[in-house]
Amino acid sequence: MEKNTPDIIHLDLDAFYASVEQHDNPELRGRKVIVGGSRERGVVCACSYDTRPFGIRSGMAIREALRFCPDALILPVRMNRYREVSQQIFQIYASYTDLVEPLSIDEAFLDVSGSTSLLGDAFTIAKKIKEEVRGKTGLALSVGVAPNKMLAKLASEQGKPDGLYLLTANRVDDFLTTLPVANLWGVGRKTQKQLRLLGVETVADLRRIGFDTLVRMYGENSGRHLYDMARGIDKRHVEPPGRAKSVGRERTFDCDVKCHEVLEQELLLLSDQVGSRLREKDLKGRTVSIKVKYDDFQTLTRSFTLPQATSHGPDIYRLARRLLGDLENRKAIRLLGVTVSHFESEEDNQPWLFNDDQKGLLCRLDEGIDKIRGKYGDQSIIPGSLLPGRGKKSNDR
Amino acid sequence: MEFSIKKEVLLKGLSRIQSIVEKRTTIPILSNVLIEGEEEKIFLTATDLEVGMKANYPASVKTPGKIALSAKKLYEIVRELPEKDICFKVLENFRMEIQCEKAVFKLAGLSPEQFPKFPEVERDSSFPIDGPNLKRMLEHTSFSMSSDDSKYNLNGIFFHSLKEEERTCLCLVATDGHRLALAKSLADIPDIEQLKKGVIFPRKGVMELRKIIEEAETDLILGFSDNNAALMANEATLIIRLVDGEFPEYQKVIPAVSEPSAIVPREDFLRLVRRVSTLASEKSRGVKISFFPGSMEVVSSNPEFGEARETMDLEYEGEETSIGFNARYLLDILNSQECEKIRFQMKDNLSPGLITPFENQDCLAVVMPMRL
Repeated sequence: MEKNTPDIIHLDLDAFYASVEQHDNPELRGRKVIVGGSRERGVVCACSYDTRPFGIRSGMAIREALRFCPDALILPVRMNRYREVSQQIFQIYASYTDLVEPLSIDEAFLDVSGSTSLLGDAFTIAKKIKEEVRGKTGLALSVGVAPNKMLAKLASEQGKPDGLYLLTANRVDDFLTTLPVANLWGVGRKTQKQLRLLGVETVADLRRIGFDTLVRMYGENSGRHLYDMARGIDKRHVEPPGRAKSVGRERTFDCDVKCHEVLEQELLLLSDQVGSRLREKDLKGRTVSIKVKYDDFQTLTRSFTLPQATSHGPDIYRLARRLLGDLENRKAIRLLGVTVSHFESEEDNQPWLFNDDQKGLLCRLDEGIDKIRGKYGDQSIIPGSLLPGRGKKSNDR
Repeated sequence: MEFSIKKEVLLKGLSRIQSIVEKRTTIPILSNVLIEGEEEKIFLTATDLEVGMKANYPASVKTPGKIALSAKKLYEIVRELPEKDICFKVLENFRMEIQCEKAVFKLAGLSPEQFPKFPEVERDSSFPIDGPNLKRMLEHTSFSMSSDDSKYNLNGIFFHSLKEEERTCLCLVATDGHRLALAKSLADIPDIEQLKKGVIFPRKGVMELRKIIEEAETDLILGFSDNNAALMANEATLIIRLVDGEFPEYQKVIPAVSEPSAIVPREDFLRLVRRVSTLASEKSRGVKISFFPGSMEVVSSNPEFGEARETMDLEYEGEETSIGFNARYLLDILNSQECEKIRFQMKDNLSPGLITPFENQDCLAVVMPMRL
């Protein structure tokens, strides 16, 4: 391990949307709360902890959730309010260190190594943050304190809900070896299944698999990643946003995919998400890249640079699809990624004299989409061909 | 072919075509100059297929003929020769013997037949044009041409004729998409289809136009044929292939003269912007201009170096307003004009600003504000 002091804190707000609703409306406290859309067609976006014993999980259809837990209250999604609370909480984090890396609206990493001489050790800081967040917003945090990002995240999961878990270097081995491999970052259903064939269930089992074997199975990068994680090694730094040089999304499929239509559908989804993220950060990029990892772990990237920067999903998709089409390899694909880089934010400061009418229209369309997503969440509006039941079904491989 | 010519005359002719000859061409003949001798002059022709020039110079021609020689090598040789007459004689296999006093060169050339044909311009689609005036118009507009090669239709100056109150004007417009400059002047232009519709002179052609006007001592003739324009002076003809592209509808973006405007002494404003912009961000060159009744303040700031601020008195009676501009754009405009006072008309942070001379609107500049 690079360093041994537990200076990295992972913070995760417990049942964030549901907790905000319960805090804003005291009558809801102690009641089972599901935040989602309509009773008929909505999906669970968040649910309070007391609904979890009934098997309620995010992403489940609300109709189904109500069958398990009929007395749960269904509330509409108030995205603007959640963003507002999230901002308030991130401001609290920022007062303890400038190294804050947001992972999502309710999750962040903090590196407090620069603050310990002033504010006390990381555990003390974590405790203070927890208290301050509860005092100012009434919300509960699950907090993990550990020597690196991966361990901090695992630690915060240990204490859920409302926990505070300190993992020091000398206890890492005991802590890690008993965990199931599925808890490790990046170990999805497919990797889990493959590892099970090797008799690997826990991290201790994974440690018995040699480095060479892992690299042979998963390629240089992923193999090394698995090997390191099993030993609690994670060299990534806490990186505050804003220094990003690219914005990208990638996805590992549950099963390797060969069908071109499914791949194009996934590219569309990824391109749309990348466009949305670019606009969120007020960025436009000129270079569109795709990343493809084949079933034999051969990884390729291809890119194309445009004369003018874009943050428009369909523009990104058009290029990404062309780049994918140019790849002649007909092997099945395990992972697909889309990235936009080569940002031109300066250009935005100097608007154009001639408004390309078509472009202005698309720009307004994007603004509209972003507004809807801002209010109702990212899934509220998506390209029509990605709707379930439209085009090729995603399990139609 | 055999001729002799004064060194200084030939050197001038050769240096004139160096900027036209293609430096890195895949077509070898284009790096050559065509030399043709007849009667008491020689013709030098060079082209890169976009811009071509044919000029004649006095020489004593013993036997007429022609040859193509490397424009660069010939220029380098002639430059080093003493200030005397130089004798040229074509040998076999397109080789040229060059002799000046005791120095002798044998330079390999190419067949003159390989050289592209120089287009002819019909007289009925041409008209005389006032050189110094055209040069002024080019200077009022050329700084706004785009230098982004991918925007080929903005990579030059748009020439067109328009009728204003029964009189014909020649109008030149250039824009890079962020700013635009226009110059117009009365001209006696016959009905020329190309000009009525408007044509785009490419950047390189614009540069050569300026040079030929500077050198010409007599009036010039501007003519058009197919997709070429030609500028003819006594000794030289410049042929320019026009850009095949649509120029944007520029009239739409020129604000009407109505909004409150400031009357600003041009030279003082120019020096002020130069001073303040020293601390503007290297990349965006942004400065913020605030107008107050009777005064103006220009501010720049740069997180690395600090900030600059300067005020000046001027005539302005509109509301208080602050607008960001790229200082480079403002300096280009202020530098290109000659008048004592300018009229600076602006609306808000999202609408283009308009700068014209105080007295007239024969040349105007439109510039898009920037977000600061």
